[in-house]
Amino acid sequence: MALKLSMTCGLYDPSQPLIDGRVTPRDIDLEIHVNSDDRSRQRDGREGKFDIAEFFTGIYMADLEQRTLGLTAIPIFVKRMFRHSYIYINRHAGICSPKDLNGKRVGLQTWFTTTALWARGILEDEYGADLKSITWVANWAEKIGRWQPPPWLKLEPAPQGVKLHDLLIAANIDAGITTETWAPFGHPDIDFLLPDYAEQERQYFKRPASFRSNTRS
Amino acid sequence: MQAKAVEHVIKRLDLKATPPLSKIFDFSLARKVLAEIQSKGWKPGA
Repeated sequence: MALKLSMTCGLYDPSQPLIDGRVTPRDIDLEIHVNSDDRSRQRDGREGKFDIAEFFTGIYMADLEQRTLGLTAIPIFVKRMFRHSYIYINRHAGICSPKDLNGKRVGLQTWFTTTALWARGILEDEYGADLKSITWVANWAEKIGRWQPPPWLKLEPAPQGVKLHDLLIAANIDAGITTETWAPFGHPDIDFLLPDYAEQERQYFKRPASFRSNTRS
Repeated sequence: MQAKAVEHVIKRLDLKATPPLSKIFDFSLARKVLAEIQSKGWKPGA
């Protein structure tokens, strides 16, 4: 008798064969719920609504000391991609390069969002941005076990009910890291921090000795 | 790959504790699958 399991994940190239049935797990009757909304999928995972869930690595890691989530990670990275094109600026904020973010206000969905986590790494490691000098404005707060923000972190909540995108247009923040697509066909005041991101990603990929893409398990 | 991903996450979140990989991931399923495909001589792209 097959083991019945339920799973939730986003729709990506690696998950597509499982979703459309081209690949079927042996001896498992797998029911897949595709949910492309990261936040609600993560909430479902936390609430134990599924046996298997794609989950934010950062939240899982921050909880690891206390293990309040009740989750066990298996080393399957369902999503790997570059994040150079997920960093946007207000064209009037005086930002011409990543180092110009120093001392500025940068929005993100949450401190733990995988995209933002990897983008911060790129900004610091590849372009020398000083992350500690930046005021981070988070759309949502995350409560994770006994996790406490490090003393250097300047993290403030965005005004309730206001979208990061609108904060950037209003110049309440100077830049934003998001999984949403804000350019090139969005508001005229919003642009990519790295307009030549495709070339930047190619160069990034060619460099050896470090791990080169966003992962989420 | 897991080690490098974990290293990045720990650094970016400024987490104090660095647990061993075996405490972070359950590798039992991956090991079982690896043993099976190796025994069958499977190669990537085959």
